[in-house]
Amino acid sequence: MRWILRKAMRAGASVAGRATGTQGIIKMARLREAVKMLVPFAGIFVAYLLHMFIPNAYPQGYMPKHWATALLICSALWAIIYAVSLVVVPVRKRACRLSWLIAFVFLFFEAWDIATLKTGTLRLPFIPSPDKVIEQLIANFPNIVKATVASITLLAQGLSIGLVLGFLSGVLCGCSSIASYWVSPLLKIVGPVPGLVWLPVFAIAFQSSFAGSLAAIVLAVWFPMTLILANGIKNTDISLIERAETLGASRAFIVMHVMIPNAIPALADALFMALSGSFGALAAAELCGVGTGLALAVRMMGTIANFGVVFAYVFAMILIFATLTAIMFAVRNWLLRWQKGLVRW
Amino acid sequence: MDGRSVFRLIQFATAREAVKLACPLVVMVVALIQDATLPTVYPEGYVEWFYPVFLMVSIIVYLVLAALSIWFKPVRFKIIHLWGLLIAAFILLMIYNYNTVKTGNLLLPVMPSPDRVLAALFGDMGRMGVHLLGSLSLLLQGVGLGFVAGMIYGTLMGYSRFWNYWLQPFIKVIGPVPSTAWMAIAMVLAPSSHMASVFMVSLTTWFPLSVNLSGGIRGVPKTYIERAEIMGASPWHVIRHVIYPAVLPNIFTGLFMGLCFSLTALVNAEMLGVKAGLGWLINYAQGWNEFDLIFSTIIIFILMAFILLTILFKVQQHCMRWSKGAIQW
Amino acid sequence: MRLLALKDFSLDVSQGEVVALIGPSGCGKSTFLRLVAGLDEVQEGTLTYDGEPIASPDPNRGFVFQQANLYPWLTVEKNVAFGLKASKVYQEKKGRIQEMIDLMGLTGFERSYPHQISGGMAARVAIAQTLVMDPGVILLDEPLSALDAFTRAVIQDEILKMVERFHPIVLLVTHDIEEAVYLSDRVVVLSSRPGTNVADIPVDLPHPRDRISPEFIAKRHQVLDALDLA
Repeated sequence: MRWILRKAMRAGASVAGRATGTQGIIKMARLREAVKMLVPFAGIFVAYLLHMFIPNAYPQGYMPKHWATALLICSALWAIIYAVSLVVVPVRKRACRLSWLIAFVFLFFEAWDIATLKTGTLRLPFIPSPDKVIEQLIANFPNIVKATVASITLLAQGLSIGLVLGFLSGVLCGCSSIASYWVSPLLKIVGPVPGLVWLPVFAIAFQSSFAGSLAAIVLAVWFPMTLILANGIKNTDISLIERAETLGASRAFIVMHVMIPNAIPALADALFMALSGSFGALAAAELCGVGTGLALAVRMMGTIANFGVVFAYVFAMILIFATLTAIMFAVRNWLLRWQKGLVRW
Repeated sequence: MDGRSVFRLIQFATAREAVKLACPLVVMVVALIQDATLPTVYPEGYVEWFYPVFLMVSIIVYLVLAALSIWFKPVRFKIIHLWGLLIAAFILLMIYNYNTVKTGNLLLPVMPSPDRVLAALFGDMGRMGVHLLGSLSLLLQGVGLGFVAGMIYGTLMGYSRFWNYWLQPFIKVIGPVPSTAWMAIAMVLAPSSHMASVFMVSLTTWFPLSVNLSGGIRGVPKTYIERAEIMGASPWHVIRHVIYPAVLPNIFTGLFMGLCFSLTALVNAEMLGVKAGLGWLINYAQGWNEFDLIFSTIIIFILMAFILLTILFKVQQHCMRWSKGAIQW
Repeated sequence: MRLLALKDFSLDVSQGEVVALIGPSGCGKSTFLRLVAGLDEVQEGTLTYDGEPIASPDPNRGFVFQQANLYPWLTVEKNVAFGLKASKVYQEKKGRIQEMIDLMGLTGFERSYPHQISGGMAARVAIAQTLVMDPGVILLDEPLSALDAFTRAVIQDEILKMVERFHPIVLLVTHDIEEAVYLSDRVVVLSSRPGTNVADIPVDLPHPRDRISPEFIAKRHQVLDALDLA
């Protein structure tokens, strides 16, 4: 509705300069947006001032080097976004919506800065200051990249195998009751049990801990894909199938063009569960099997109480997993574009 | 159709059913005979005890159920539905038994015979019980906490634009990261490792439940809500009596996912932090290369997961009689 | 449990004829259409088209269901094209898609998804989906029952336009006597379950028919009387 209004407003504006009323509204709206987008600057500025003027107290003699720079870089980045958004409308809408949130994030980190570096309320070694985390992030950057690459490689392999297998077995079980009869007990017995539990068995069955870890991830993806997809296919409305039959569709055509599309909402659920499950399995596999990756690094740094690095690794993890999830939801939205009342991430 | 041919039809049906009922029993008996007649050769001097008893108990239980099934139709249908699976299971058991304890084709310690696995399972039931209870209590605490948190979080996120704005980024950031990663941090932040574990398990229920619930709430047709509001319902009444029933499928989907993820988190927590539970036991058994214990713990774990999920799906079935299209177990 | 839906029912329809089937609820009208479509099997008796017994669904016998129930993941255009792809004649007949969309007054909505269009439009898409196949037999199972009176009248005229152009056999199941008299060449009245044909009333009024002319109303009365007997 709002979109239509906006479109109409824009059209109105372009049609005639004399429609000053409409233009006035647009100008006002732009002005409001432009002002709202200044909020993050204010947030960063306040954080910067607090950081610069409160004396460093904990640990004694520690000289922060990175946090102020990071704040300045962030404000420069926001300035670029600001400049772009003056021209590109979608960027402006997006950025404007996020303004308060971004300001809040910087204030939150500044509060953290105050609680650690400035007052020592939260103690080392467990809670390092933002400055310390950034320092560790820079110092360990090659290691983080290496661990990330290892994690993503393993994840990509497990995910792709699991998705293909799960899709095939899901469709098979959805279409054929015989397949469903024989696969479903396997699904119910093997599926809900985490890969971590199977790991010792997989390691023997596949004769290598790498293949075992891979199998654990594949399992975490295969289980929800098969269960939910088969269910979605089985629930195809009979009238949709009959309609296709009267239009001359063969059995295979019905499976491809009626039953599978009908299961797309289920597929979307399955993708969500498969992806989240695969992250858990990946972390478990890294801890117990493969001996590389982000989760293992977090664990190891945790045991030697180097929490600056732990936080740095956790930030890397958040970045990767949140991005992958966002991509998955984009795929999901695209798959479900024909649906009403779409659930957005 | 006259009465006579109807009678014949029933007879025919029961004859078929009788065959299907008898087949698994025959296979069980064959398994018992196989075990009794073939000599135990590997490892030398090993005496089987649990496996034959298990087979005998299976036969007796099956006989009782088969007898009951003559009068109780649901029991009969259930057993007949399972007949192929039962046959396959006992044939696999026979093959496995043959290759381990009867010939030694599969070697110890990696491939323990059915008898050894059963011995580990029933031999020290006290220990198994303690670990099972430990896992179960941790799991239920975590899932319970996660359920409450997820319901509140998801409702706020789905119902209010304001809360959605502030809560959604948080879930986007925290949710996808596996709980293992939080373990290192939770261990130092939480007052005890038990609480850290509960927190981890609850995190994995909270995440999918909130996402599914909030998505579902945003998908509830506006007319449902408006109709209730026209009738003078308060916001809480609308949430309680219109929105929650409408999003019941989403809640159960979220809970199903949450329970599955929580099982992973549980094992993780037990392997890393808590010093009891099935996850710990597997880790311990792996350390000592006791594969019979690993297998028996896995069996217990499977049973636990299966029963919990079955309960969940039964509740779902009961709550959602009006709806089809929810995930079937 | 099995229900006897139709008993001693016989009907002979020639090409180009529009036959309306009318009768009380549950008299087996819809069952008969499903039998003709080949969705259900005939238990006893024979059912032939062009001398061939009907055994399975065939794209030459189009079925318009009571609920529009379009494929929600396909746009209007792709919904219309569905049958052509299903029976692998898309390349030869794809020109008909736009033709049908225009005929049914759906121009401009080709790229809309079913949830974006109104119920009346969905009914039209469902009809277009069947017509695009150029079927020799069109089975209409109360396709307009869920629509408002105005839309219904418009679509009725569109159905007539289509009949005039393609001369298919049309079997129309309806509850609406006016609709039956307005569209059909014959109105067949069925008794309640198990259904038998109790009356076969020819409607020999010229098209376009005037719904309030005395002849039209007389026909309606005639059908209504037959229905009361049934």
